[in-house]
Amino acid sequence: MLGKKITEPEPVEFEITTFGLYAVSITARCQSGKLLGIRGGENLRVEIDGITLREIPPEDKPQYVDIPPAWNGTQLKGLSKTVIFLLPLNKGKHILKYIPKPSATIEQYSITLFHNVPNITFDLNNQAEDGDRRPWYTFALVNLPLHSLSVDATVNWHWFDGDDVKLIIDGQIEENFENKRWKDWFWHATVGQVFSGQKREQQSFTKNLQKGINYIELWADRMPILHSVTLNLGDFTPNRIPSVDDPEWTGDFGDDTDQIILARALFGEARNTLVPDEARIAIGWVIRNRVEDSRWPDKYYQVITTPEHVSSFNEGDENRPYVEDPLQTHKDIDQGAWIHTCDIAGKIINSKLSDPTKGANHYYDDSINTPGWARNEKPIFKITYINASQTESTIYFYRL
Amino acid sequence: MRKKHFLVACFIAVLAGFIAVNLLLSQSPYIEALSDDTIDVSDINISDYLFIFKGEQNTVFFRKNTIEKQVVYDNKPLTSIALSPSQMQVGFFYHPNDATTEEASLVIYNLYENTFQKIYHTTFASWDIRGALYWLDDAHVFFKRHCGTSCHGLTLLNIKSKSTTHAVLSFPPLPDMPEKTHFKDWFGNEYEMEGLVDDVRSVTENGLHYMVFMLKNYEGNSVGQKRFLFTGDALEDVSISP
Repeated sequence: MLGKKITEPEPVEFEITTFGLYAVSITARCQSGKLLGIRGGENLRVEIDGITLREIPPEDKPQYVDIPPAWNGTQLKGLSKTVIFLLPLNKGKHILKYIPKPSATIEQYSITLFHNVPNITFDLNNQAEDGDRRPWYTFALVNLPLHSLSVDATVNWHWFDGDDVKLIIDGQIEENFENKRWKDWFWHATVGQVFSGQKREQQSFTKNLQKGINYIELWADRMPILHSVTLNLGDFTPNRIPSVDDPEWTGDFGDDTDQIILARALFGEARNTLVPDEARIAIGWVIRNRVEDSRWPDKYYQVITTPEHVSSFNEGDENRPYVEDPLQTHKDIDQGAWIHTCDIAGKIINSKLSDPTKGANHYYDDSINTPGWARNEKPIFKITYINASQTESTIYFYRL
Repeated sequence: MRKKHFLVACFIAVLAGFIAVNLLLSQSPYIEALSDDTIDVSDINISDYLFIFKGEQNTVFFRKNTIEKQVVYDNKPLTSIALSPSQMQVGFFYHPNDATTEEASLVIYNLYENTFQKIYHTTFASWDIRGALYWLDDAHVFFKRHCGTSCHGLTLLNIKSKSTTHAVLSFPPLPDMPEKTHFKDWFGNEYEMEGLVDDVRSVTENGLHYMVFMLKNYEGNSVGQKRFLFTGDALEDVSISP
């Protein structure tokens, strides 16, 4: 497959023998529509173990292709780009899936285990192909924090134009305050380098980004050299990643993937078969709508573990043991319900199930009195079901 | 000769000790349960109820001296237990169906009549029972139930009529809103408390029964408590304002 154009989704299975923090590095090339004579050009995105990455911060309409850890032919115009996915991987089999649209060329791929966490250095020593401003490298941190990073790059002057490198972290350009005209390009070659020669600079940035999905983008203009990138993950230590088959928590819900933490919430809140799937999906969307609302944190685990917001996560709640380890009872009925909620959670996160509530961020069940926060509000959606007493109950959904 | 007498005396002493220990153990209420890791709720003396504690994963244990046993009823583990204020009744939850934890029953065990009465049953335990069991007086118990986001239900159960009513605790619906809890009780009265209700308990003092709300801030630190006197048909706020 390497070096060849792919036109269909290509799953690649790989096996890990040791749990740890891994870098999955992929270099690929996409042509623009102008060159190919097709509208939109070539695009490529990648899923690892079903994780579908999207834009940061999240917008109303999820983007999967026009995002930093994807390849966009309109931007690349046939040049190559490398995306390095950094993520903890459990021992066992994993699936890397290339999803081209309509086609793309995969040039290189490698998987590297890092032992010296939290400091991770990528020795790259790679010179960009000659070309105008375009994405060059992306580091996609999956479920990881970022304390700081340093980038070592060289820029040179070539006749009438110079090399430049731009750094973008979670959508924010790191500005070069020394050069107002070229403020978006932190590494910038000047005419004076005709005499002084190439300029190599290592720059450090402290970001203190929270654990979650974080993107670091490097854009190139002309042909700069990227020597190394060093990431400091702060106090992060890789823990086992709970999975559908082995969901027991690590002691920190922040170690969960978005799918697993959302599935825990759905399992804790609505695992009983009396709750219709429609309600399960709606409750899942209540959480996703909060993640996408600037009034709440933008990470699933932070929204879900906000004190008193999702009660099954409260210490002392009878459902807390069920969210800590959904399979703790070893009962078939719970195992079936867990697998089902994982499936629904994955589909909500990946937008394969649409929002039936049209934006709700709260709900309550009318088996009890109306909560104070709902008293002067109108529900925007409701679901009726038959409860344990064989009577009708209604779950009301609100957008506050 | 002296040595022989000494050995006989030692043998008699050991035998007497062995018999004494066995006689003592035979008077213990849980002697039969020593054969495994569980003890039936009916085998625990009233005076030993202070040795019952809640374990992890919704379990109930009895621990006295070096003995620790999981408390069961009908060979099924209890998930919560409470002794009534008069100490004449014990209420407990358990899962009667081995195939699912969604079925749960509340049983009242009359310690003096040695009778068991199932007064509440649900097939939707993950919503209907969300917290430990508490007595308010000898005729009422309460426990938390599901509500939704930023709220808790509180079920009051009259053990004579077996009827239930629900109260609701509401928390700030958005992050960073002031730490307040709204409480609408079982009798239609409404209250606002400074702080987030972390836990709800009951306590009996001088023959009076109180419902106690333990309050915390967003950081999880205690910010005091709020007390309500339960009179059987009303709750009265008896907290002393700071």
